[in-house]
Amino acid sequence: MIFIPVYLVIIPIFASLVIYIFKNKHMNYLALLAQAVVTVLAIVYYQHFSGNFEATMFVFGGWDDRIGISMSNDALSLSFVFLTVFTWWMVLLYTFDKGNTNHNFIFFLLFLEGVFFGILMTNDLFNMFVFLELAAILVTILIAFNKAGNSFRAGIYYLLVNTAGVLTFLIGIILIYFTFGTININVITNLMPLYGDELIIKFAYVLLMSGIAVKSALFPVFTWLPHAHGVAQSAISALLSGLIVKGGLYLFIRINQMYAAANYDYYAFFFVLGALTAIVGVMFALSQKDMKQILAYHTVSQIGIMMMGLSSQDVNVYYGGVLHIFNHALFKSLLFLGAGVIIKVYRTKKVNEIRGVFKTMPWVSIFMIVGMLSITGAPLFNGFISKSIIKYGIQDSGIKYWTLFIINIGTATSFIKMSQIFFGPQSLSYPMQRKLQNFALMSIAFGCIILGNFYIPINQGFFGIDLSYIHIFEFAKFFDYFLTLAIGYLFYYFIISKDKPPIPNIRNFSISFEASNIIFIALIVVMTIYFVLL
Amino acid sequence: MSVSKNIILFALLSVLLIVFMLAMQDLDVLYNSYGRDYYLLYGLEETGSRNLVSAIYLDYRLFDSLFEAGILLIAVSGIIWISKHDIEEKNAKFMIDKYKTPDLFVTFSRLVYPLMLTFGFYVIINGHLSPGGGFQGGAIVATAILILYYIDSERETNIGLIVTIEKYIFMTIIVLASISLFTRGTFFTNFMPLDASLQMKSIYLVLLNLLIGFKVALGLWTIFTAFLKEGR
Amino acid sequence: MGDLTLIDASAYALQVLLIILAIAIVMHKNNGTIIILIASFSLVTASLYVLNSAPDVAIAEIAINSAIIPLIYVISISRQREYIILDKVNDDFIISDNSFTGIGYVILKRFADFYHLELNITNDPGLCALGEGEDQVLCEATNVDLIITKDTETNQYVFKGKNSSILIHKLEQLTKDHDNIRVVKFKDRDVGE
Repeated sequence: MIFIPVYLVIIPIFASLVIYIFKNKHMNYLALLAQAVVTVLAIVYYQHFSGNFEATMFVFGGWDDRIGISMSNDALSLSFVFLTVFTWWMVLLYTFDKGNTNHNFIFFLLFLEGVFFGILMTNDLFNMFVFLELAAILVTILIAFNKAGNSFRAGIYYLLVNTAGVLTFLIGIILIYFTFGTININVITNLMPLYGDELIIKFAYVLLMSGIAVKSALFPVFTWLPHAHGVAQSAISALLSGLIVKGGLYLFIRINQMYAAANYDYYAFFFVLGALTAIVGVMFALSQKDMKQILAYHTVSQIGIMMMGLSSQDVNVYYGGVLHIFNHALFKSLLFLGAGVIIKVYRTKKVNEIRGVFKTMPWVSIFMIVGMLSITGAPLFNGFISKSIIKYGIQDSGIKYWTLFIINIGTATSFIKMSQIFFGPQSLSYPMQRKLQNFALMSIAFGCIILGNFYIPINQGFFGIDLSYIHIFEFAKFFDYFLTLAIGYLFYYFIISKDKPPIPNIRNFSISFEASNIIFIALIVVMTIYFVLL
Repeated sequence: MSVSKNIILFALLSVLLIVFMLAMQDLDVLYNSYGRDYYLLYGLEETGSRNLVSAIYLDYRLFDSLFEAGILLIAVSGIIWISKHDIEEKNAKFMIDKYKTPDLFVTFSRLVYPLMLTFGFYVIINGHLSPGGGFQGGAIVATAILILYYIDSERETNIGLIVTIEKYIFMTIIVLASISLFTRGTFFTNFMPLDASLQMKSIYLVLLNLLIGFKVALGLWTIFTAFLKEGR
Repeated sequence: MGDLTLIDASAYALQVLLIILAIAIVMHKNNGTIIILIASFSLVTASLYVLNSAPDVAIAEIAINSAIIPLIYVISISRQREYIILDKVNDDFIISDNSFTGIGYVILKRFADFYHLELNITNDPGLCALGEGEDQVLCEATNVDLIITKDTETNQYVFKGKNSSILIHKLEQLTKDHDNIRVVKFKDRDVGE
């Protein structure tokens, strides 16, 4: 029972290898079987250990826990595990085409699932590094899966930038190992008060955080995200935006937990970083015309909001950030998968060329509308809950509140712009309705609605946090939302739809690879100066 | 790169270098040798391997090594996938091989090839006694096989078969590592019990080293063949 | 600098050599020289590993970075130097009497010599039989760099290549003054959903 994490990691990998070796179409069903087994195991594991998370730690080989590799779980990692299982179900159902699915695709996809479980559940820093590197290579291959010219470029760009970040992470691990003699995260957490003020540990913190900043697409190293999303298949974009990027934020939480005893004052720095990410993300999103690029830049800006939540000292706001991770995973993957269906039928990605989606495919439109309402924070949907928590927590500080308000307006504007695809007459027929795709979209939409309404019992049961101070059915909340929508509509009508410069300049702004390297090094230096020297 | 970019880059990197050197100054005081002392004291008895590096990556931290081997597997599969072309390669016989290997090199390679192969296998099998091991020996064996391409540049290699064998080997490694669940009650360690003699424990080490060595050699061979075949 | 043993001194000297090699690798332009410098970089690194009592790492470093990586680089670079041209024209623009004497050949040879490329011209009948519409697919799917066809209406020779390659732009500049040559660039298609 205690070894279930190992099964969770190994079963998808084994299934993927078997599928690859027997290049048989019927073997593809093995993927669904493996996924079902993983789901059952995850549920059993949670039921056995809930409330008793200290007992989940074990060391491979039974060696001394400062020498061997250990794995452990707690409420946060298990909730991420469930999110992973759910997202992978959705992606598998979406891409599963009876008898036509490429076995290479399923091989890489399932392998990535096993590796991602490893990132979530491991308790050892070097193990985390190995899994991060493996995940980077797998995601590169999935991005470049189409084998066309710009797929390669985006894939290699992603690989190089991410490998640079992961190598910086490795140097941080080396410095920690020198000082602590062990790389077991629990042991380091306990020993941290002894060494927390040493220069070498602070520098290690800077290096670890730089690696994580690259992986989480924070400002200014987020440029790989739009490149990757523009060329990847929609299912891969959904996976990347919904989950893999959140892996970086999960690591952020873990490393900060590890360094908790050292009491660095990282709150202000990462709040500013998060705010910058959010604003820059929304700005770029407003200038784009390509549907998937819009969604990609919105991922960047929502990650900024999550970082604003996670870098707060207030427990409630922190929890709002964590909750936003889950909510965003749901509605962003919903939007990407829906966008995939629309793009496949309309054969174009430009928002101003697609019209009449509502009449052509009503169900997909309804699910997309659910996603859009969630991301703009409408009451009754799950985006509202996390955004309200963050809003409620920072309402004391004027500038923080107005920043969040501006970001919300920007988000609303951009989705009003995108909602024009629904209007208009039916222009194309929608011949091949894949039931599994619709089922996947429907499940995620239900998830959004359920999490938006039954949030009090769910959060109480899973995390033990009381959210009863958030009320949905207050008139003020609805008014607030419609006010945001109205300002967004006016902003769109008068400014964005005219498309005057500087908007096209922002759209075509791109950073060359060498410039992004220089920016990465500049980020490390700025963090060093802030944390080490100040 | 323009001069201003050079200067900015140089300034940034020197700031990092200065901070790093400052941090390294009290390394002698801070250096925690818990890990090193433990391995020196207990490494030989617990794992049966005189080479402590092999002890670490084959026993204490086997989980890491599995996924390092996995990285190689994924890299090979990715390269194979990306370099496959849809147009039938038989039609594309228009590339003339302009370079012919000098005869001296061919003769020398024929002499050296069996030596390299033997040395590679020696490094693999003796990984637990002297520096070396599966990964290193596998790389040497791969280099030996690559020499064959210089001798005979028209070699036909069945990449599909090699990649399949490699995946079978990977699964075998995982299975072999998991046998310890039944004999010792925990995953991913030596399947001999803790109190077995050193010779018995080294059976596991040699076996695992051989499998890893084969895997690495096949992987590197595949990568090289994929590059050679690109566009043919 | 009191007790500087021989090993410490040689370690310092090797590290300085490492920095010099790294700067040399960045600043050199010729790909062949860079490969040799990379191999020597890895040799110096391996020696440093041995001096720091890590022979396992040294063996792995030499086998991979000094043997396999330069082999792979040599193959890639020799492929890169080749500029593959598919000649679909049946007259003497490039080939006449089975030897390269046409005007087109002179232009292309000048272009190739300027950029240190190896010309590899072929008129393989199997590929020539593919129709006009397949040219873009051919460029993307195989590694043909340039396709030469003749436009029978305007009597112009058409050079077709991928827009993403810098060389096609240089070729366009080179043939600006020749009225009977037109350069067509295939834009990368938007693929996927």
